[in-house]
Amino acid sequence: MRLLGIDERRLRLKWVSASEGIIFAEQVRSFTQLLRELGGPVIAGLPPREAAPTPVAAAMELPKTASA
Amino acid sequence: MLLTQKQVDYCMECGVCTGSCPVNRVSPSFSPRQMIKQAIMDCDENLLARRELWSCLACARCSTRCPVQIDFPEVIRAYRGEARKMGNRPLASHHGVLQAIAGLQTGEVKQQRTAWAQDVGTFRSSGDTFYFVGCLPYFEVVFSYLGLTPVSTAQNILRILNKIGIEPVISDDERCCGHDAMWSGDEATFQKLAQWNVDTIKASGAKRVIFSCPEGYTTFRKHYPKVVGDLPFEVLHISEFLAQELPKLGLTLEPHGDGPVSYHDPCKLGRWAGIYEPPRQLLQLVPETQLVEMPRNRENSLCCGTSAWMECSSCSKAMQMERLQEAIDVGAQTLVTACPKCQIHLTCAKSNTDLNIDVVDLYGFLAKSMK
Repeated sequence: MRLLGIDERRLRLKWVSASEGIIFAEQVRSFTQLLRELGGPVIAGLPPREAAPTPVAAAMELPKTASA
Repeated sequence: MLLTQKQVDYCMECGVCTGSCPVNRVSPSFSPRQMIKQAIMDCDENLLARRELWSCLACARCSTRCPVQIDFPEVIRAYRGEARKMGNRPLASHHGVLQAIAGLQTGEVKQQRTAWAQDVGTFRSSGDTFYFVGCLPYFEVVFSYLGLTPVSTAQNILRILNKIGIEPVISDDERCCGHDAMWSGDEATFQKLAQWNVDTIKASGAKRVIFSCPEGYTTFRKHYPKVVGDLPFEVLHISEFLAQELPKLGLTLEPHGDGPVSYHDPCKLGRWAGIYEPPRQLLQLVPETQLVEMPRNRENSLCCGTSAWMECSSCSKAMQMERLQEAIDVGAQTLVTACPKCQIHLTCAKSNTDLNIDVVDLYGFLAKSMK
């Protein structure tokens, strides 16, 4: 992320136990709040994302009318 | 049909392509000759839906041997573009992280990709000579798990260039060269990256661009002109450049004592660019280097088994193991290559075996004796 110049605060990894509901809620609240403040887009000028690669679909006979 | 009429007319079905294909040796279901024949006889839809479309490594062993010059890798590339539109897409290796990194670079990123150079040597933001570093800073992150340090290649090159008296331009605005996107049929990503790079290099005022990555070099030389027109600068591979410049310096290089060394020709530097001797000349600048050749060398070199970070398979692994064994069989203790990807692939294959051979990059090998 640093190499690509993306603000590293945009990734958050926390371990929260199933019994720690308040901590979980607080993490989600503060993280979404931060992301709202940082605004977007993260990287301008990107094309819309293509559908995820589907090797399984590709392995099957593809319908001749299919288009992406 | 994506084959040209000329290609259709000339193919005499001699099968040299399939006989030369290293993938076919391991996976007989992949046959260039059959695919060309299918393209000629059938409608394209059948070919476009096939998984085998993604198995070609573009190693160019078939096309350099074809008696009527059918450029099979280029045919495959054209079909891949169409196949992708139909939803037939390759299986990305490494969870697609390298495709994501390339894709993100088509946007307005503010990269920090020159950090590796800070305390290593002198470089500039504008000047005559641009050093195109390529993916090395990203590989450093992605492949640290293999114990590799890909940026050390760039660092050694910067040190060597500084020794020659060159302070190259290196740039945070450099983008992925688009080689992998292009070979995955993703022409849109490739074109955007090509334009970014040409604009960045132009803005630096560089008259020549030096590459260490064979793929970047070949992509600029062979494929950029097709999408951005004639390049407003000269492109050079560092092995050629150093083979000319280093002997003039009269440096005293120290022997390594690394034992017999073999050189693995990367496809994109060898068959694609015709650069066979300069890397060998560089190896022999190191005193007491005992260069041993593998049976498959130069234009007969075996590909390192994977291309464009896709479709890594048991076929890839079989080829890599075969190559490592070939080097060991001729008595090599060190296998030197000039391509970061060959080094990554061969190191990966070696990592869960007890094969006793070091896989090192050419510039690390040189820098080691330039203390």
